[in-house]
Amino acid sequence: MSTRVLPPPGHSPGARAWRRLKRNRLARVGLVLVTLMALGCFCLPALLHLDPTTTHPAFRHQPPSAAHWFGTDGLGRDYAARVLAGGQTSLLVGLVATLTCVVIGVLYGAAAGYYGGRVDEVMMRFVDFMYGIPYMFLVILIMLMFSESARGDPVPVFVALGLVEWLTMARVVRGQVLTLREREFVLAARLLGAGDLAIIARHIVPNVLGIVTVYATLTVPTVIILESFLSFLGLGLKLSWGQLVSEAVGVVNPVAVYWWLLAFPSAFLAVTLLCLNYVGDGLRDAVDPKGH
Amino acid sequence: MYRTLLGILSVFGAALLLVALTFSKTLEAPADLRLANGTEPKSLDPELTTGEPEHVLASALFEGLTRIDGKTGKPVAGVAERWDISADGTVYTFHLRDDARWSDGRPVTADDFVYAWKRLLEPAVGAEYAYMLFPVALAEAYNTFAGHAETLEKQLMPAVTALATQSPLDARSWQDFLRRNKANDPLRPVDDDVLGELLARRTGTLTASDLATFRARLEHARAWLRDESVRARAHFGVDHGVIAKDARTLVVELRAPTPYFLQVLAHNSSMPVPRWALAAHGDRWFLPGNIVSNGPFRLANWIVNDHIRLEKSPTYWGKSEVRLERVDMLSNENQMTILNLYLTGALDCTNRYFPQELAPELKKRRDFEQAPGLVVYFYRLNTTRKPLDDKRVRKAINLAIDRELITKSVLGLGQAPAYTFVPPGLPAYTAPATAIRHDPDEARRLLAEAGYPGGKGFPRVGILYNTMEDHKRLAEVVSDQLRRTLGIEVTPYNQEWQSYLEAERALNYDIARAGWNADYADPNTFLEMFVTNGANNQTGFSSELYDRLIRLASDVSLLARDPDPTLAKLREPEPIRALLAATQSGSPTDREHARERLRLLLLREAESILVEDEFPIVPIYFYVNGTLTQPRVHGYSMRVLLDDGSFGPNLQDTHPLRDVWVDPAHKGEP
Repeated sequence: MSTRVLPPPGHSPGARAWRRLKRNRLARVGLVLVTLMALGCFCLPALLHLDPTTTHPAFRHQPPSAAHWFGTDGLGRDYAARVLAGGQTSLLVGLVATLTCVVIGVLYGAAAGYYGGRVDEVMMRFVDFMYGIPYMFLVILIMLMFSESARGDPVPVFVALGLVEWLTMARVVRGQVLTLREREFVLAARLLGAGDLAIIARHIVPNVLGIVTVYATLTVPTVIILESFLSFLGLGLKLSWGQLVSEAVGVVNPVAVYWWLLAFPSAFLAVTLLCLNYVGDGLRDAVDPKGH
Repeated sequence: MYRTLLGILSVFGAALLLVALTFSKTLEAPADLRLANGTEPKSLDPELTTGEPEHVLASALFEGLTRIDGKTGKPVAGVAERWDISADGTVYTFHLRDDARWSDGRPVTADDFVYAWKRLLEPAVGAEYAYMLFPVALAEAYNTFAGHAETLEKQLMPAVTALATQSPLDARSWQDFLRRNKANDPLRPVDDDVLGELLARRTGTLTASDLATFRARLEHARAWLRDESVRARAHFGVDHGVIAKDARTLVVELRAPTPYFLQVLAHNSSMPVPRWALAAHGDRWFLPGNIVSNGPFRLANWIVNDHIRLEKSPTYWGKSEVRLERVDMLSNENQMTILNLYLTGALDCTNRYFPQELAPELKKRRDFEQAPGLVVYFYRLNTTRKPLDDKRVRKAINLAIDRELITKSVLGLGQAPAYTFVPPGLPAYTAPATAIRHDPDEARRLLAEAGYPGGKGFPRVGILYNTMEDHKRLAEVVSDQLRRTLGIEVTPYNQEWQSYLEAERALNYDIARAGWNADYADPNTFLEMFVTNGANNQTGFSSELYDRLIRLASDVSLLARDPDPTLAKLREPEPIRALLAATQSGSPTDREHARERLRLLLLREAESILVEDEFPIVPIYFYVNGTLTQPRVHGYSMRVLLDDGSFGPNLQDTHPLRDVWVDPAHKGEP
């Protein structure tokens, strides 16, 4: 009869990471702000009946006021509604494109790392090859495969960004899996007759989830920035923070300065990116304290 | 160690020297005048260019028989010093100046024009502006008939043979068939009533014998086109159309009197080109070092995506009248950059390339000038695609748009809302009655009648525009208005210039933004484009009556032959019948006068088909051109002197550089 030694309560790796994260002040502030931002973008427009599309050309370029918190744009649309709606798509792009890249990257990296040898060699050389192609070129190519009138729709942007961002994820996961597959619990599972798929899904993937979470958190801001960049090239979404900033850059001129057009979306974009980065950094420190 | 460092430093120094040398080339004497000129010009070949920036440059570098006078905006003597016009208005005899010179010193001769015009009309050259010379006898035959004959032989005739097995055929599929096989364009010049009747058949069925007749007539038409083309190639430039009587006398025969012909001659498409330079340098003849030109300026330098430097030509006949020594034409598409350059004094004139979005602010400035222009901003509707193939839907869209709101609040430069197609301001032309207005209730009713009550079941359509902030803003407002008024989902989307043009040409769009700038001050330049399958029609719109009216307007004497069938279909036949009688009696001047008025009335009838019946387009507004110009620049005005001594708008926004000058008192100041 053996006595099961329980780990002291609150000391599982997850709990320890959570505690370390909570102790990181920047990460904590970041997490709160990002949550508020997301809640605001997704809930406020519905609560306040904000309408980002209806034009009132007679009321264009109104500075911020009680009626229009962030003023109005060149077509008289409520700018607060547009900034919040832009936030919805920007955050959604960040999340969905990151999810795409997590799914592809984790499966690809896990397969390469688990099988090793020639399979690994071929798969990772393919990743290197993709790295070699300038990613902008790749994104534009993917965008062009969708019909012209789908320009500005979210789906092509999600797909295009997800498809170029998975490469690093695949490398990170493969590196982890290379060490994991030599571990005893994998051997034990194999001895018990588990198939490759079951081993990858049940034993390997759960063990890389920590690092994947960290990396995914850091991918979200990258993707948002990428989408803004696409917007500058005219390939982005119809309405996103990047798009709003790109439109507003035109107002930097000596004749008439509509500062609110530039200030609000840039501030929202900058704050969100900064916070997401702090959260990502905090998570990394929390999950892998040796890293720092 | 020191040696390595020395090596690195010397390599670095050498690279720096190289960079310095490269840039030192660009150090030029400061220009008298610096103008914004839009995007980087594609070519300086006056016959092959189509864009506005190229047009401005070609007009400075080359000169045609006539040129546009900066003060009055009217054609005046250019290379031709004077001309005689025959009593019936169809033969022009031009007398060329004996001091007209190319920039390499050679005289400009009548042969240079014959050579240039034959080149413009040569099908293999593919000049888009070839049609500008179509008023000249045989010119159209020279340019298009061989191609038409080939289209008939290679495409239409085999297709008709294949179709014969499917007869009888209902008229709708017959029209589809004709459109698919591009039948109308090659057959338009063919004068054959039987063929015309078959082409125009839109109701009933076509029997096997109809098709057999059609095929036989096609055979005739093809033979005729081929013969005419051969005839044109043998005679045009030799003893017909355009004839060089001697080095300084050029005779031009028109197929019908063309009141705007002298304006056509001032357009860059009919300017002479140096054949020896073309022979020596081929496609690269217009690059610096190769180019030979005959205009008031010559090309001094061309820095791609930066500027083109022009300098006064020492061989130009009127060099004593040219007061600018050096002009820089800036190639920059970014309107905000152009405005900033202007405001910091690095640019003397923004031309039309200032940000439209800031128009209300800029309008308040004293150095801002504006005038209505002969340009219409409109949307093309693809009449071959559902749901826009239903003219009730097209009308509903026309009625749902609030143009007043757009011109007042979105544009704000004083643009006029467009309810017809031809811009106002053309002398003697009055716009037709129009069914277009802002009427949301009627628009909803029409949409319901077409089967989409409240927009239900209406497929999502797109508004295509070429990438540009102003077009985007307008497309967003229009789609919002359509959404709110009709309850239909309209998505604006953009494409780069080339793919946008291609999509329009291939009818690969639902609604597409367009603008049309008058090539010459006449309604014909606007209305001619909507003839069936015309190169600039691009809507799939096709009306037999419309085509006939445009044809008759180009030669009103055709109407006298058999007026009744045409008159019966017109909205206001009586004034036309009266004028037709007037063209056949009275003094030659009275007849000429009646002919001109008749021509304009026929064009007006054609326009009314567009804006009262068929609605293949959505006219939005008529342009106002504007520019910011430093006060030291003179002669760059938005106003022109009229015959009666008063001032009128510079409708075509033309500013010939030869008539521009800079006040030396202001020189050096920003």
